Amino acid sequence: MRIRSQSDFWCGLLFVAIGATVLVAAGQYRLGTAARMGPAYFPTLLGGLLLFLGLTLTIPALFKDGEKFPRLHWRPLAMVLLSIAAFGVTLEYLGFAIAVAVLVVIGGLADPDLRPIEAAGLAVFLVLFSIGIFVGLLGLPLNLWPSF
Amino acid sequence: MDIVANLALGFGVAVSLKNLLYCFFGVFLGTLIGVLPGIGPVATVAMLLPLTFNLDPAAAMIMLAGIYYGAQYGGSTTAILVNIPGESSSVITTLDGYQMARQGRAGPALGIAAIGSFVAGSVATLVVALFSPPLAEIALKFQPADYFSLMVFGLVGAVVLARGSLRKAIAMVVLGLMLGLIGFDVNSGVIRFTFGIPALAEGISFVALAMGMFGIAEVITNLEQRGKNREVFTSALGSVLPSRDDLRRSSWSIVRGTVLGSVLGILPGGGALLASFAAYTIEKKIAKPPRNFGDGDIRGVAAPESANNAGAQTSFIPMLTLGVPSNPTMALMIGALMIQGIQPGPQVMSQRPELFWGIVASMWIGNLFLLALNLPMIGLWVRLLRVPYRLLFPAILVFCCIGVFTINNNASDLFQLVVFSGLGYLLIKLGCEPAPLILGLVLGPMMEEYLRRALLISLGDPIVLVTSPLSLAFLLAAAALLASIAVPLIRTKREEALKE
Repeated sequence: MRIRSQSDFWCGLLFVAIGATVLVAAGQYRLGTAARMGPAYFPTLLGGLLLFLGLTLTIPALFKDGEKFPRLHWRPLAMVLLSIAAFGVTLEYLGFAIAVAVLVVIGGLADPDLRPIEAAGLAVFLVLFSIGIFVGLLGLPLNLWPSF
Repeated sequence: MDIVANLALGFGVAVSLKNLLYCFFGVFLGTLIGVLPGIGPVATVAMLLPLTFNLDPAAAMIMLAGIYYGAQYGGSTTAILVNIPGESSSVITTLDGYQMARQGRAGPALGIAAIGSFVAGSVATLVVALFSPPLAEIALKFQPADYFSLMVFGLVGAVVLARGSLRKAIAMVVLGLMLGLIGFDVNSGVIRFTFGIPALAEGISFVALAMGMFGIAEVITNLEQRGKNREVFTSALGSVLPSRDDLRRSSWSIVRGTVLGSVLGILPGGGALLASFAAYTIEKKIAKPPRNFGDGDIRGVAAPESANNAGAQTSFIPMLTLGVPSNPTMALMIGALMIQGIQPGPQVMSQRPELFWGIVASMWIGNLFLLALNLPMIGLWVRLLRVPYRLLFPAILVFCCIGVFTINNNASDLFQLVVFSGLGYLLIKLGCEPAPLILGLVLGPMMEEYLRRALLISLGDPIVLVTSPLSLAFLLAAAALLASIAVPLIRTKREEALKE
């Protein structure tokens, strides 16, 4: 069967999947009764509702024409997400200064127009700038340098 | 007169040198970040939230309110000069504002926006001062069932105003409510839905989520549009003071925008966005001569800019008196209050009058700073806008990451940021607006708690939701809102209004 509205179909399916996951996960908690709700009561209601809403998107999408699946741009998406994750990892082990530099260099790869020399300059500037603002001015307790 | 005494108390708090300074910094930083293309008030407030952690509650809220107005105005500057709205509430300003800039009249456009915002802000501050006390008094009588239904009404309001598919918007609300339930459940003491991740025991970090969906996802979307050259009209800025003719032509537009914005801002889901769209539509209908709209008519800047500032201000009313946020920024404000150890709700006004009235008074002072700051400093913002985006976005990334990290000094929040940035990007691509999700996230635990209490009292009978007159009224209003967009005629009107 041909899917008429790709965008709605997959969007609905995403909601169905999340709703179903919640319903399954709710199974391990006590449901309780309406008068004495357990931890699973309200989440089960919501999970069921989300599943239903997902279906109201997915099923009509089979019959009614709609938008195609949107084009995702992988380079900016991957590089930006990777740079934030790298910031999180390096911050704990290598300290704030190196983490900011790593964030700028990897994040900079998201835009092919950014020249390496510009990225390097930005990294130096932003490291100094953010240390000045967040540590110098605001006194946030951050480990600046590697701890070993 | 109570209100005079109350305002005097408020000004007494707000006019201390320390709080004036925080208000000033808030407005300045808010404008600075808000000017960055693609960064709207929500991302700005989320980014600067950590700056307020070490302050006392009054100073923190005063600074945050300043940040909010500053960001709002910074967004308008970007809309006028670069045709990139920082957030949906300044979309409408791009129509005539950018055209004015192309005709070399960027100066007066920015000037009238600042003046209109100031007038609107002053009036809206009075509205907040007048209407909050009676509303809080009513709210003190609310039963759990009433609160639950009020939240349903608020969420429906947010859904109706989201752009695009209604089903998707409702699904986003429900998803937000569920995300809000992750972590420790106060009533049963159970840690739920963490899927084995210990860091989730304290729940989803709403700053990470807001920043991911409104900040980072926006950066990624902007990077896709590489090659599309942005034209910044800065060469012929000229005088920022509007001419006498400009002022005469736009004065009634400012008044109309102010009134409309003040009213619409109080509605759940309302606030700045709805206000600016409605003000522009009305202006187009009744202004004479109407022919210039879309072509750089100063009234097309004056009305929506006044309206969105008035709306931004009066949207504090439901937040301060009911503890229910009407838009994502207010959701962040509630989060900020809770971090300060204050449970938002009607009791704040009676228990912490200095806090409540201090915030109200600082609204007006914030608007004064905005006027004083923006007119002379416009050159600085313009220079910032000349910096190419490829050099700006790494800085935005750095500020977002530091902002999220410093909330709890916890690297795991950064991994939440990664997840929500990716999810936000995907959802935006699929036509789902993130605003309803964020409201759901904040309201999730509250709704569960009120429903639980309501049903406990009624011994499990859900009829309590319709036997209480207030609760019934909220539910009927919610149903009417939903029905109104199901009716084809009104639906097309809504689509028109939101598309424009």
